[in-house]
Amino acid sequence: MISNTMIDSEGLSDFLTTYLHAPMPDPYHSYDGTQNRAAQKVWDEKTFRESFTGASRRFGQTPLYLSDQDLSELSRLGVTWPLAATRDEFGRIAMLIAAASEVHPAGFQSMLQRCYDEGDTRERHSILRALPLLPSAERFTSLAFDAGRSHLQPLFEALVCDNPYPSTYFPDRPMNHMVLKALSLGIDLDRIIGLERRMTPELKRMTVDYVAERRAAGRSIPADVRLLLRD
Amino acid sequence: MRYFDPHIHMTSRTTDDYAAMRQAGIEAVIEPAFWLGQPRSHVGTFEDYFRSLIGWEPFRAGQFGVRHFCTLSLNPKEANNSAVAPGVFDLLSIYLQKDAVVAVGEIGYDEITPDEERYFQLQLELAQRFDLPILVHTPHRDKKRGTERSLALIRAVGFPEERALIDHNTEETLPLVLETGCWAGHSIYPNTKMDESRMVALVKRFGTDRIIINSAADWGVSDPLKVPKTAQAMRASGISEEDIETIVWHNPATFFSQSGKLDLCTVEQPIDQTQLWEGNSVLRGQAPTPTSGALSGKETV
Repeated sequence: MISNTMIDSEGLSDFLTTYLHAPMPDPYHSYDGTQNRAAQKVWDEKTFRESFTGASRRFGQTPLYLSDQDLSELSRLGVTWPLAATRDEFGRIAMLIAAASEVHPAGFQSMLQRCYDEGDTRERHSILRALPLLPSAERFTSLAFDAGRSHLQPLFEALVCDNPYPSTYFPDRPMNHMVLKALSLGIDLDRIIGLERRMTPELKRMTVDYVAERRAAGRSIPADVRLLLRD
Repeated sequence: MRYFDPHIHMTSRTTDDYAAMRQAGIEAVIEPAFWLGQPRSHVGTFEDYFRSLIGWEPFRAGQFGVRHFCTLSLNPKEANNSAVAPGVFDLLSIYLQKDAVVAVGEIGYDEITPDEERYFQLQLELAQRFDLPILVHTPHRDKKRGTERSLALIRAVGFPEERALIDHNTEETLPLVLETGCWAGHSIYPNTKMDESRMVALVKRFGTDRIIINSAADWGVSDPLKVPKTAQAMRASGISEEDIETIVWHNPATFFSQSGKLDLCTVEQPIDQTQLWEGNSVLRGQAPTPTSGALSGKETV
């Protein structure tokens, strides 16, 4: 079972920052404390949210070019699946990993939800890619369920394809619905990481019913149903 | 010919409209945030509207091969609603920074009230802070006075005129706008505002410099094909193809590219509808198209 305890967060954060070769945004605001104390720095959520939005311009939207060495380093750090495709996505993932280690867990959870709610499709996409890398990732299931229900196909695919999050954290019902939705959208089911571990009699029944419904309507049957119907 | 409709409220339009627009050659649109016909009574409904303009509507448009950008603002009509106006204004510092937002707008005057003027000025300052151009709505009633006051406020604030697009012009307001450095938009409507033949006459009289046309189609009686239809009327009256293309493509593209977020190269590339998502190979297991070097297969992580 994949679990985020296998992720070396600090090492991953270092790797992403080094790869991007760009300064990370500073989510701290300096302010002067009392006269007796030196200037302190405080975490500022709005500054973080603005930088998170501005990451496309800071890091650029160009594709990543990862060498075999990069890929094996990522694998060593616990990331064994395709994580992201563009520089800004890498940057946003690095920002979230850093924030999770610096902000109180409850504060981080509400901030992540806010970033997701106010995020455009690119931002939301990056959050969904980051989910399996965050500490206590089971906290974020409701956000992930929302993506699983989305009609925005890029969001749905960010959750479903090459992402260990659903199979690790989803209960049966949302998992089953996600798989059926992927099937109906023509997404290759072999891109659902850990699907083989989540095969249940109920998922099989839903698949059999789906096939019957397609047959009754005179529609084609996706080839991938075989993956769900085998014993 | 390819067309750019830089003012259309697609939220109110159907998928049939998108299909017809693409069929007619409309490749890019800008959707300005405005009011929805019925007053809103919660800040949250504005926020969800903004979210739809930066996420859902571009996705809907992309399915039909149309690129969708937007402008965001507290609109002039609802600037008068003190229950929501301050809260909506506070949202803008986050939402104006989104990739899809290519201007602050629609801002300006409706009834020319003190509240409208205050938020007009505050949003001119926001546009300067976020380095965005502005889209200025001109009122339906007392239009000439409203236009004069808009131009005067832009000048008083010191907002760069070449970054201001004054919209919904008529025969009376266009000369006022062209005297400044501002750009002039025209909303071609079935009944009100401006129609095709009047627009042809204006182009013959004033030329193409800083002239933009749009459909401003929304939830009322309006026509999302007015840009290509007006181009056709121009063609029929002997206006050159080059001049038409300046008005229906180059001018809006040039104006809004001042945002730094409307990449003309990207706009001019056809959308690959098999991908649906900005070349992101995570989604379909396709590698991004290499521009150079030996990128192949699954290079993405």
